[in-house]
Amino acid sequence: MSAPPLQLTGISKGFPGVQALSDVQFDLRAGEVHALMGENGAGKSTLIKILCGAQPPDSGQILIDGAPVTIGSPVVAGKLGISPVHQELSLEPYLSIAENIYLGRQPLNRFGLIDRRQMHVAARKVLEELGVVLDPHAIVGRLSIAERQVVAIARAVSTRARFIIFDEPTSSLTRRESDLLMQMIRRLRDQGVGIIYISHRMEEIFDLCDRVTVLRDGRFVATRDVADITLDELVRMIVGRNIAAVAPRPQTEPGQVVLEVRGLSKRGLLKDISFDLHRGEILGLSGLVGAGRTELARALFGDIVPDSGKIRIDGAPVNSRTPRQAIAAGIGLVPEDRKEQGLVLAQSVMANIGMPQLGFLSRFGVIGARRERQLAERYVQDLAIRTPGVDQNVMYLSGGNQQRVVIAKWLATKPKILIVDEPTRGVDIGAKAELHMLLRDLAAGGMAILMISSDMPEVLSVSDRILVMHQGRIAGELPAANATQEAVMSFAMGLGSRG
Amino acid sequence: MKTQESEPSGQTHGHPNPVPPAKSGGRKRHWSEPLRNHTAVLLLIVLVIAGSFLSDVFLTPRNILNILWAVSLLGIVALGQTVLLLTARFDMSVAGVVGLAGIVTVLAQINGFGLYASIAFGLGSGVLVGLCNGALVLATGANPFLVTLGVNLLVYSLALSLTESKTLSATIPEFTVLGRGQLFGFLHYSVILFIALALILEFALRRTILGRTIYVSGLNEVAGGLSGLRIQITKMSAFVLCSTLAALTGIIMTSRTTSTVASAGFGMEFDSIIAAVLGGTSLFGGRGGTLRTIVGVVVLGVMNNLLVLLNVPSEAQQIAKGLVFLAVVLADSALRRS
Repeated sequence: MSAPPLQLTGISKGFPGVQALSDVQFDLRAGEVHALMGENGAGKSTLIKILCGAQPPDSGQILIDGAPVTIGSPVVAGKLGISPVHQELSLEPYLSIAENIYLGRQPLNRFGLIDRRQMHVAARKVLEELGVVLDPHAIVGRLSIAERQVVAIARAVSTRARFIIFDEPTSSLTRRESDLLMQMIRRLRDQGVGIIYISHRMEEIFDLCDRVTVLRDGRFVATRDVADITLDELVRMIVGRNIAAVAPRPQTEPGQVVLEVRGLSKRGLLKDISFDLHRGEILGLSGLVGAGRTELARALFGDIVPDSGKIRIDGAPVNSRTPRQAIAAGIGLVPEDRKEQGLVLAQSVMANIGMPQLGFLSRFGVIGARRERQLAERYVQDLAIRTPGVDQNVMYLSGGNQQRVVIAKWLATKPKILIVDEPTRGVDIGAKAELHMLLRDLAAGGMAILMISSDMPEVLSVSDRILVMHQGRIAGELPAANATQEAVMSFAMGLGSRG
Repeated sequence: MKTQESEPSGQTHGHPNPVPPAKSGGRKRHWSEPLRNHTAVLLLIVLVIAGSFLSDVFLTPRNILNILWAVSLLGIVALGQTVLLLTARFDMSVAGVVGLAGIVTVLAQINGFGLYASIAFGLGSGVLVGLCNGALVLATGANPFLVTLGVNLLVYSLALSLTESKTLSATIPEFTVLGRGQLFGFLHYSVILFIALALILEFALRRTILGRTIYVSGLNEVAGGLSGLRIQITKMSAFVLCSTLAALTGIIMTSRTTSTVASAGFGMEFDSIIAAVLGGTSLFGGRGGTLRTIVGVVVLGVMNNLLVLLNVPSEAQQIAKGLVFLAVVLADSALRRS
């Protein structure tokens, strides 16, 4: 039997505080789509970086056609026929499609200048091969995300890459765009390209991939034929334990009203928002992107000062003009973007947890080091944050654990109301279920939770009640018990109640 | 330093209820941290060893005290600059403020104010310039480097017009104690002040809410603001502190020489940043501290001292400073990228 075109054996890689990969193996055949799966922090990205020459492995071997190679840089990777299509699209927005495809290796004419005509002809040919109609002269900055993805793929294809790596290519695509991408990938596969496909979307894996390799905690779990494996098996391999798909929501009586919002308006953002939030309740806030959900959260949190309207907490009027005042009034906000808004990545778990209430931890402005440490240790324990210690920088934690740190820092302030904005965005399937459980537990303990989410199953399964926003207004309210995806979408799209 | 503890992940992950013990140890730093901490210290050790071979005078107590005395003024400016750098901002107007504060103090004395009142006027001029810098930078979001560069020109012109381009002399004899006085007959007050300020600021940076907020301002002010930290006021305080320390330097400098000119602080805007960065404070905010700045300042002082002892012409001294600074800046951004 001949050697596989691409093979990795015994790959290990460590970072300060984390062993990202230990003794991982992987192989790729020609003409297959090979899924690489695992929770965030399982080591997928590190493996890909090693393969693309962005990072050297500490140990292990990479073989191409049976011959060991050293991939010292992305350029070397390119020469060996390995080409990544990045999650964050690294294209030049002011250049044309053709210029982007041939960036850095433009065809030259006999004067040593760029032969634009030849470049455009070649670009058109590559695009046709992929089965898409795009003008090679078009400026990339004006293209949709899906079209940019096509350009990135075209770049990979134009290098005659033998191995193409897709890192969550569909995460920002619509259904139709994803289908087109799948077609493109199948076409490449049929031409004999080996494809590594990273995605959290199970249906894509079963639809598209031939084999799947699962990593967990930087270790190799298994490589299996997709045809021989069930969804349940695959999920078990990824998380290493059984997780209840969607736990049934316990029926609870709503407690007394904690937050009363009446007629809240802000020009151009919010129109006449009124609702109540009860003790022990998870109120789901659904709607399309741009409907004003995040703006509502910021208005409640004092980050946007509304033009009119009243906010009462436990019956007392609240008029927060800064987050600081909102925090004092008993509100916590787990923001949409945890890396930019929620955490100071370069500081420790302890510093992050202590941040909203340094005043309480301090005497005469001097932070009580022991009190801060004890507080952090208690919440690391309570929320089961996986970290070697409270002194660890949060940047080294996985997405799910980072999110727990954000939640921990708010719980430590003992808020009456917790607003969570997209609480499980970018966290993997196991961590997601755990975060849902955590939110439920908090509500059961009496916390009033306002949960903004674009993840429809999450809204339906976690909330007690659902508000749907449309163009800055509350378009509808549904008890979660008999809410359906269709009913929520109908409100979200401004169509009113249906069924 | 505690020893590193191995991460309890891996095995615990598959467990139905994975709760790793939260340990207080396991402190893990970025690999470059110790290096950053020690580049300036290593440089200093190398310089001292080299100096002791190259010159007989170099390691004498008298010469060491001289070095400290020579750098203490730049040192105080550099401490303020360090705090501002931690918020990822700069102040190029410190040079003008050094000149202005000395002139304001002397003018106050000439106009009949007492010793303490005149010093208060001098410090006040620094506070005012700091408030201007802070207000302009924070209200407009303009680049602090350019804004304070502009303010520097204005402050310098103001100082020039106040003196009508002449050299002014202090009129109160006791005023010279600040700049020339020595504790136990050998330790200059300015050296004590420099070291004491560095220690106080280091404590404030590490242990107080203000200090924590300064670091967060440089690392992620959005997250800090959303966590209820007073980011804007803190940044303003950093500008005022930096400018006030520059004013203090101007006053001490005037007290040393008893006379003052508008250009007294010439070059200190760059030298203070060089010293801070040399010590290991990042140009990009959030990393560093004032103790490190002591080392940075002393390295500059030792280097100058050695070159003088070796009779190296002053042009060559500038070259040496330039080369060392370049090396440190390049190392800083290389470490940051990794």
